[in-house]
Amino acid sequence: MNHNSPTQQILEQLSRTENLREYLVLVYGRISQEMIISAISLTENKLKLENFHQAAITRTKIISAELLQNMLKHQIFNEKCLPYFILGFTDKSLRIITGNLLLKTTCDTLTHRIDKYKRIGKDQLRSYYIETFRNTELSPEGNAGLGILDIVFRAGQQVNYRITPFNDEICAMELNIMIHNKVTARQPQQS
Amino acid sequence: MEDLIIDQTQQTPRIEFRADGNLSVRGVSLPSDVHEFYGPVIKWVDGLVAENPKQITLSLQFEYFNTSSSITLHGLLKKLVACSKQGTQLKIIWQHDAEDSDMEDEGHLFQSRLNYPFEFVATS
Repeated sequence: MNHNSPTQQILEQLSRTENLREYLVLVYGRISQEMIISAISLTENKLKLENFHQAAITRTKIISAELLQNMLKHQIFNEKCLPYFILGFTDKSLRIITGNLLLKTTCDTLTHRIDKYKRIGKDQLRSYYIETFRNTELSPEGNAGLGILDIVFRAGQQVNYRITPFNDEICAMELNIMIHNKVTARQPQQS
Repeated sequence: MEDLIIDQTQQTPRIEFRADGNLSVRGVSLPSDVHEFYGPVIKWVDGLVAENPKQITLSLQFEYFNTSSSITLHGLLKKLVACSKQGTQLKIIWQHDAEDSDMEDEGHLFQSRLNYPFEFVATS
């Protein structure tokens, strides 16, 4: 994540490091619920225009909604490091890249969970996902702490992160999520 | 008992719960406050369940939803399944776009969490 960078700098950096061929959606700045709804609507329209498979569109919308709502809930606003959400594609896959400031303690929790979920085998992760969602209750604030599990599961474990210290208590976290198109769409499993 | 009808918005689904036991939830579920939106819905279901209806048919059709909605809906479905164990005939229908294997799979995930069979309907 690039501190104090305008949108163009972020895009140029990502073009170099991620081989993004084209950007479909870019959200930059303070996140709001209304902006999330607009971003997802825009995402759907863009992917339809690009003839993406319906399953990939649904998966992208659900992951995007989860990412953006988590950014909204945990956002620490600082003009020097504004949150961003970028949807683009490489030659082989859709890519979602988000960056935002978080408390270091939150960062540690998230990275620990991502590492843990990526180590689990795909079938085991499905069982773990079902079991965890079965036994989880919402907090009075409406949170369940399962957003990152949901994202890693839906993305087929194709989730990477990069952490950059911002100050003693806060760090910048960039998530990089790959979503395959039609060929590797998640197939329904009979339960 | 009166019907509960809530119109669809850009972030919440259409709720059409009829007192005769025909219930449907359709659309997007991404409320900013999940308790505020689903609180009255769950309260209404509690009232229906208390009446020990002969049958309940719940039809679900989503464009997308967030984890908070998913957990809340699971809680609602658990109430209906518990009711079915007291003699109510319960049918849960999961409708999805025929080309949307991900949304079909969401139904299977819900079904696995509940341990209750769903009827899957692919729409075109």
